Amino acid sequence: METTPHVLRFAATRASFEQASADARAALEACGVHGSARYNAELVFEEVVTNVIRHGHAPEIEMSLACLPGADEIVLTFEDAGPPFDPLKQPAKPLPKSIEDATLGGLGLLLVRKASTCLHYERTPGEKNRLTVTIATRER
Amino acid sequence: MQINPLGDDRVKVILKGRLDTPGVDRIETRFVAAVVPAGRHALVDLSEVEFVGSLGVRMFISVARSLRLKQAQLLLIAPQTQVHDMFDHVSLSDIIPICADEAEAERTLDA
Repeated sequence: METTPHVLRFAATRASFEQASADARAALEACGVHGSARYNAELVFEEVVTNVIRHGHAPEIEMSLACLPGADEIVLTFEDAGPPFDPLKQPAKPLPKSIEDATLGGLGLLLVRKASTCLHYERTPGEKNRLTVTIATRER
Repeated sequence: MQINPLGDDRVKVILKGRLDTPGVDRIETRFVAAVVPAGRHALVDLSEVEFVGSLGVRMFISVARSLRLKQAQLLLIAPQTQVHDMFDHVSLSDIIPICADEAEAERTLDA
């Protein structure tokens, strides 16, 4: 398992998403992340990055993936230079109980919370949004 | 995407690959067109789908609602383990039947 953090930088556009996603999956593979941890990491990438792209205010996203041999978690960090936005302060939407009640959005943050063991947001001194996501790599 | 009629009132759709943002973008229009206008029950086989994100869930909810207006149902069949876990996170089975196989889906429809 590699120790050097993997860092990806890509344009915050839908056109760039597919390649960025493939690069992120390759980084997870290089870190030896598999099974449910792999799925959770891919889910976090999908939901966090598409949310930044959807808001359309950041030109670029930087993602780093840190994994240490023997550790039971990996850490994904996402940075963008968009306006201040703390996703953790967004209100949680209740889950629908019927198809009639179901709304078509708002599941992304819920899935990020479910896929992670720890979430942290900060506005950096360099005026960037930084979201740090910890994902367990061993079943608890 | 593969579409197989199952009698007069139902159709089976086999999806493959990733239902992430680009994956949904590629298939959503064809999927909706194949399923909704005819108003037949849609059994969607997910056994070869390795990833579903929130946009994929949104697509299923949207189609399920459209079919409901035509007195038809959307059923999801055989999601892989991690996909099923993700569905559990959003309690999707509360609003869309998730079946282990086609036979269970057929029994659900005929109940």
